[in-house]
Amino acid sequence: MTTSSQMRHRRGTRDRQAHRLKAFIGFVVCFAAIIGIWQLVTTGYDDGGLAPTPAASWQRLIEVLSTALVYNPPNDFGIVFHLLASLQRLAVGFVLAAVAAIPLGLVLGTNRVLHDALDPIIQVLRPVSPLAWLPVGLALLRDSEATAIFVIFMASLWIILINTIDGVYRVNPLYLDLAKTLEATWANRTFKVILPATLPGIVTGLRTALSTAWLVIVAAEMIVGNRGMGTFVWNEWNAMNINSIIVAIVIIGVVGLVLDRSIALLHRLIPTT
Amino acid sequence: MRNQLVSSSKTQAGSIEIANITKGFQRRGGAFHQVLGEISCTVADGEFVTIIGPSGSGKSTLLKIIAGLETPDQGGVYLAGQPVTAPSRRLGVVFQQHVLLPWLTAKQNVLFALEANGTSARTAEERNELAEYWLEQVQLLDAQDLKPGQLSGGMQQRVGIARAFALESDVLLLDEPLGALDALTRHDLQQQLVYLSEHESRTFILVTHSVDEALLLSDRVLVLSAGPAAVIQQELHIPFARPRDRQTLEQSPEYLELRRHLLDALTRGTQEQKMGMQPIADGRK
Repeated sequence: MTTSSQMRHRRGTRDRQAHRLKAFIGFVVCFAAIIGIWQLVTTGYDDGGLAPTPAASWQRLIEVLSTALVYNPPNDFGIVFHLLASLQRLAVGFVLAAVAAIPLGLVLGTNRVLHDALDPIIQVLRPVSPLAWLPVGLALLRDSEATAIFVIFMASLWIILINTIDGVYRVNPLYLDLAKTLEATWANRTFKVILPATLPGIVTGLRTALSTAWLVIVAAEMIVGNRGMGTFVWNEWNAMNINSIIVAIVIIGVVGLVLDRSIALLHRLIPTT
Repeated sequence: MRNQLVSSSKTQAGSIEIANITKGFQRRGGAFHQVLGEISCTVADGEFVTIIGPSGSGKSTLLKIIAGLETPDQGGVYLAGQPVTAPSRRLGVVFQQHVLLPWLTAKQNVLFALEANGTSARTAEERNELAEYWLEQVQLLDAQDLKPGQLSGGMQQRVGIARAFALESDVLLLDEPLGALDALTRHDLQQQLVYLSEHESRTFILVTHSVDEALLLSDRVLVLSAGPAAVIQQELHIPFARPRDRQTLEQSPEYLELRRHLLDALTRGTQEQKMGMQPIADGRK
């Protein structure tokens, strides 16, 4: 019995290893194919050398990374400072949105009348691109930095709000019956029953909102920023340096992935069964 | 008998009166579904009463109304003469599913019940001792720091039972507390419930569809008719002396007689309904 279970275990490990190897080979093949197609499309393309080739982009990546820590105000910043500026705006706008949306979501989730009263407004504002708020921010705040944060705030707010409300609706109704039979106080009911039970919905909201905000910050910074990943992309475009934009795309993608994965870790902290 | 001894004493804190209640629901599409016909009964302080009925007969709805979680369409429920209008800590509930908060440990779940209403006559240390006492009563003291997800189904329900007892409510309402458990665990927990109910002078109202559970635990069994518009079709006094022992109980001819009678009453209800409503179903049986 032991030997057969050991054999089964070993076979399972072997199957997993074989699967990983196959997936890795597949990845290498696909990656090489993409680079190859990229090379084919861009070489001999008569555009005055604008189109980024894989080799030139790689070259530029090395350059950008080697000057990553340059700090010569007001105009010459390494990529690290652009990245930090974007992350800082993201953090401020995102945290402000979470602070506003989570309590509001808990209130609307537990108060049907208030929810139904505000729902039409939320539903109309939700599908609006956060960038549409940018001129409103500029007009009212008269400050490009505050406007960028405002845009991030608007990008995150509705997603966190709607997911929090949905999370409250998904709370096991028996938990609420339990709270009633125990004559739980408002504070105990809210903070010891509803809030922990809503956390999965809140984390889903935070995760989606952060991804969306990261999408939006680059676009917003192209217009209002004096430093940031969006500004970097815009400056390099003005310098006709398309290789840099490929570099920026890779960096934005990697940072976005890291942000998403780190907030997804919050899911593990919540027991749900 | 125990219930008579207790009810003859002065305290009536746990007496329940159910007066002419009815309950129905509006179904999607508009048809009105009468779940409970007119139901009246009284439960004396310290009595163990079981409500038994075929599935769908509205037993759980009746228990929810007694607990104050549902409002009857007509009539009312009175606890010690006072109308029950909302759930109350004087009416403890053991739910069908365990309903433990998964982010709290077993002990924290019991403590939450003791502290949820914000006021307590006890100090933190006394509450702690009380929680440990009740976890010990259900043999879970060793598991007190485990989260519900780390406990088996039977252990989870034992925490739910410990929590309800720790409330020290006058009345305990048990809504098919063992229904979701496997046969062996259920057997074991029935034994524990007999022990606990015989050592605690409280009023118990149990909802179940298990005839053996009803006979083992109750002083009195109320049999609901098959719904819709279920009514109490029979009332049986269970005369066995306490403390009860399952082995001796199950060997007595009186037990077998009562069991047969009860099963008869339960199946007659459903068969009549089936014959009346869907005659084709007979062929499948």
